[in-house]
Amino acid sequence: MTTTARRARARAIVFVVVAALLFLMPAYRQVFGLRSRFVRDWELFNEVGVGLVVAEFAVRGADGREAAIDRYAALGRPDRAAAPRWVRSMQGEAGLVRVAGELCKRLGPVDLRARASIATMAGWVPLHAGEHDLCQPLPPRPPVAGARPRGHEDR
Amino acid sequence: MKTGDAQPLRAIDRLVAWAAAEGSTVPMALIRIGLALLLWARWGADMVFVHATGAPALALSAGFFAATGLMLVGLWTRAATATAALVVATMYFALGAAGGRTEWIHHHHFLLMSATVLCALTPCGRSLSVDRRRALRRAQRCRTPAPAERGPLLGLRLMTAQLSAVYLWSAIDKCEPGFLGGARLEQIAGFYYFGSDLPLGTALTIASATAAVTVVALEFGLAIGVWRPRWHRRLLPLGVAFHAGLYVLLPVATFSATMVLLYLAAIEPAAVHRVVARLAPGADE
Repeated sequence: MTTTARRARARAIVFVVVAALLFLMPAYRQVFGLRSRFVRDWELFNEVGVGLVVAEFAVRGADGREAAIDRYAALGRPDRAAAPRWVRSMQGEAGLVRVAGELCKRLGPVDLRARASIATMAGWVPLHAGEHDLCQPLPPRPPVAGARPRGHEDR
Repeated sequence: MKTGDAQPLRAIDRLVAWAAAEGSTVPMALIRIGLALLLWARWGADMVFVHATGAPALALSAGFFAATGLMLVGLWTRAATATAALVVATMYFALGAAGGRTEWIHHHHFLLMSATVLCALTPCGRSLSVDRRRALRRAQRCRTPAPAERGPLLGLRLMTAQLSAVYLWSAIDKCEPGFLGGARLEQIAGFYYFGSDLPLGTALTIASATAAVTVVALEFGLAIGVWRPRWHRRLLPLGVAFHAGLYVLLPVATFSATMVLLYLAAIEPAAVHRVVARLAPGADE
């Protein structure tokens, strides 16, 4: 075998080995679910937004009718951009309950209802459909599955 | 029977010929220059001497700036690029992964590190470099022909493999109902832009689901298409637009720019050479 042929074969072997490494390495995390900081996956923005709660609040009157309320105005922070992050972006049911608690304090004795969904890896999951007065203690219930990051980010 | 035996041999021979092929070194040079700038953009601020705690960190900083600076201008290019690769790999694996500095081991850091290591496998100093200028002067002095701007394409092939792997695994990761239904894109938009005021509804769901399916199709298309020169004319501009959109909309840091830079590895080297020669006729003199 000539030097040129030997060199060509060596380059081909290097290509196959390194390319295989580049293609197979992410499987360690993405297929087998194993974690290592030394191995790169390509799960980009994978858990961003998980746990985010999207909600609309309303006050229910004695006649059962609901009047929507603007949580920023009700909390005395009409400028959304200047509102604290926990008001703008409620995280988990705890975040919703925190905002509801502040609203109850501000609005006095009201029947506060919310229509809310929480972000999970599988999609949006309904959290509240106006069935509870959020100014009253909520009955205990299991946490929504998948509403917390899975811990795939390297920390 | 004979045909059956000969077929795999031919495929191996074709692979060997393809992996060992030689071509213009202009794309490697462009990637080298782009990588040096991206390394500064991503790590430069962290590597300034004032942040160095102790002699090893100071040596790493000095190595980083010396190697990337030489890489940029193309002086002692092979050694400079190899040193830059070693420094960046040390930063990623030793300080980031093993040392717990996790802000250095994000996806865009890995891509930069990997691209730098692969760039070190190329003769990226044979074009658009001080080394090239010195070689031309030497040839002039000795009255020998100017050295050809040619070299092994192995490094470029491997960069293409890296590109393809990123698209492939990124697309696979998105093949779940939460993403394809549009919800995950809505959640990302909520996290970065709308917070808890995200206007959920049919129109947004349709738009998000359409965008999600398009992104996955494009990523699978790019994973295959980077290997297929015939697809480049239509597919790569779409890829550039996709990465430009990501760069503007999300905090992707150097990821988009590195991916687009690596497109130069996928494109036929002679075509890149022709474009550079047309745009900057005196660039190799």
